[in-house]
Amino acid sequence: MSFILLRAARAILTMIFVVTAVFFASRLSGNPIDIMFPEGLGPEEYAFWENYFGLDQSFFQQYLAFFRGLTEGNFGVSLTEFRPVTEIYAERLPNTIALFGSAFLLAVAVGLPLGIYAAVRRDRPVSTVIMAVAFFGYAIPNYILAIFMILIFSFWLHLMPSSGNMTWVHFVMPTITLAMAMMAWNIRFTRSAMLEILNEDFVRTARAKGLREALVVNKHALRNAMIPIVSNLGLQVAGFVGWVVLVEAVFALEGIGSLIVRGALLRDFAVLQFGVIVWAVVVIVANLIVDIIYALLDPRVRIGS
Amino acid sequence: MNRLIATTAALALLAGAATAQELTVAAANVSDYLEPGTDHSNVGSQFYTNAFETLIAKDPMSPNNVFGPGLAVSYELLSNNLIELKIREGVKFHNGDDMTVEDVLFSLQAMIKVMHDARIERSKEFFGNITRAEAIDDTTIRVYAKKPEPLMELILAAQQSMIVPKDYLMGLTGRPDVDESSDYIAFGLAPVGTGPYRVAEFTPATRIVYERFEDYWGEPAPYERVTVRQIAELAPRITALVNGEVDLITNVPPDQLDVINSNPSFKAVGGVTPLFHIIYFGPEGDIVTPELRQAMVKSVDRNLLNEALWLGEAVVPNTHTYPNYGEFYTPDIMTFDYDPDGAAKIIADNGLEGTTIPFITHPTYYTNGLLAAQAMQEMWREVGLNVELSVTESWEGWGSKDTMANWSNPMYFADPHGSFGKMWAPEGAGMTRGFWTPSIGMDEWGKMYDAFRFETDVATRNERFADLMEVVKNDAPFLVLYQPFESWGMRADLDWAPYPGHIPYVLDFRAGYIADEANGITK
Repeated sequence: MSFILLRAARAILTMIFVVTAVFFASRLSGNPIDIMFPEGLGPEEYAFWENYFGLDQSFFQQYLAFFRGLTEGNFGVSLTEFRPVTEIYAERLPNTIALFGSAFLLAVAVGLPLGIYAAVRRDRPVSTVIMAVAFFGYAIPNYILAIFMILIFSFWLHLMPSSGNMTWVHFVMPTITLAMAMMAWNIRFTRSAMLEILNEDFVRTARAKGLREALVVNKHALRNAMIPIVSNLGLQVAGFVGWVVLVEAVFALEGIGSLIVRGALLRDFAVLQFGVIVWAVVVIVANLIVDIIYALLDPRVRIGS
Repeated sequence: MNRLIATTAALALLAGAATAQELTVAAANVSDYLEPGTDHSNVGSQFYTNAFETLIAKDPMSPNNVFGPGLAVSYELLSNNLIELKIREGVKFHNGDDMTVEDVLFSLQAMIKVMHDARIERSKEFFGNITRAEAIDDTTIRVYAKKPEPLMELILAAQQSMIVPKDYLMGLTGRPDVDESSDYIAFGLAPVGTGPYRVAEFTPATRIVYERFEDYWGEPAPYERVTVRQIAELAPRITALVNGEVDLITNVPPDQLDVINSNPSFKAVGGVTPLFHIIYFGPEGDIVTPELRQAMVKSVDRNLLNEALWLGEAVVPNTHTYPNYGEFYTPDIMTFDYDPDGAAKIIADNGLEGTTIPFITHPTYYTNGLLAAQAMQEMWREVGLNVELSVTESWEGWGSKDTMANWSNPMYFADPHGSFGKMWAPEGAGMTRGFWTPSIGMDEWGKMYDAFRFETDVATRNERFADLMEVVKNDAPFLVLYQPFESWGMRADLDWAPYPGHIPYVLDFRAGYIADEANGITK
């Protein structure tokens, strides 16, 4: 129990620190009103909007007001959309979850078996092909892949919609694009983790005592290799914004990655601050899930130990 | 083509979308808010006409000022500063409220004596000479002007005069009997008008969905549903059109017209837009002086810019005037002459050689804006001036002292006061921002401006406008570059175009203004 409380306190402190850093760093970048009204404002209108958003107060006063709002469940109003940021995130988060979730599952479902195969049958030509594909997927930036997919499947073949998020069909190309890099990473990581374990003494012992190869690989090697693999997957989830940003932008998909980028470009402080909070929550939850999976995989790891 | 149709049909089925009488538009920009009284942006002007209406309607098809009944069935100018209007009965707002004389008075009074400070400039620019509106009876109102007002119909036909529901707006936030600023801001997110389409869904900067308003008093909207999606980047916008995902796209630059026109299923339709791209200077300081401005204005070869960037399709004016002004169109006044030798002499006489000045611009906001800035940078370099381009998404430094930048002067209504006045009258947007202090002094400029503004004789008014332009020529506070040639891409069977009687960029999908073979819609 104390372990959980300690972790929760540490997570909250981390979040306060990160939100504070974003709060001040974003404000140091300048005033958002010039960007909000690109064709300009008169001095009286300028003063109105500064006052409306509290930007005429000192940074410290704005900071206090922000935290006062947090205690009341008020996460702020978007400076570019004039509505609560929670409302904006609530509209967009399902799209990002659908995109990232499907890409993540695809990357795991395909990447892990291929990585295991490439390790266990490392001398086979198929393994060489798998690693070549993984190298390609890892090396090519996902926005380049996205543009090529749009060019081929939308512009030339007219088989897929190029932008938007209206139907599940609109998620097909973004999901494949996003999954490609994650899958490549999973193949490479799983292969190296498996190779390391397959060279361990206890694996040799397992084989020496006559266990079937499938049992050796699945029970003895994979279970041990899963610890670093799960850590890697946890990092992938924690870094979801970084993965989805460009894909959402290229496919004009209304998710929170593109929202955070837009918030940064337009100095929409409230959107950025809440984005960091959402991100931090995802990181905390991902870490928690990874810890639980550790415990399931490894009997030596026990919560509270 | 068969495959395109089959795929498109399959996708539509997958989407579960009924395709009957629907139109999908990809716009480069979608507004952050839809509140017609506050808004005067080029982005916002696209979206109001379908959902809002004015008392007096201006004919979009005619480049001249042709007025007709709108939400007023008739009107009469009782004197040169008083108009009486008979309000149309049986008009409903999209929320189901009946439009009453109270709503009409509220809409006008909210522009005359603003409660919402974000409207202050619009009020001064459009309603500066309007003193009050009053009800004579349940269907008659009068609008009074301080001085004789030759532009009364134009003002009442402008976007800022669109009629909104009083009770709905005031009840959105706070006290329901007071129109607080927060009411207008909330209204901008949930707009309600009287037009043939209601705004069924609005996600700021992302999507507007219009639906046919079944209780509309006039000819019903031709489409059941019109969706405008923001696709900011050009390549995805064109791809979405070619792929059959959208029917119409905005902001197609000249160098992409062939990409669309080379496909027989699509076409590009364009026109000279009633808007000027200009360059202007920030407030005077150590760098920006009248002499520097004169030299810079004289050294820009606008015709060369037109040829290179617009394939000669833009219109380069001699002065700040549009053909849409009718009898107030003054093309013979020469305000912006290309004279590099004159520029060189001014530079030499005033020791300006090597002067460095920052030019603030945005990578995409104005079509060809950055390319024009780069080309002018070279023209200025040739006469010995060093212009440093600052290309930024945030317009950092825009309007600051000792800078220059690009901007637009749209035609908000078809009179010199509706464009030049909107920007450069004493209460104009450029003046309240301090971009220019006339060498003759602000008081004298104000007197000269009023002498033009309220003159009712056509020839004399044009002479007074020429007087103003002489001051502009001498002070060179800005340079009008051209009226851009803007294009829209669309399905080949769509018959739509921007109409010359509208302000720039209006997407008008009302009955009679669009024909669509695939949807069985005729004009």
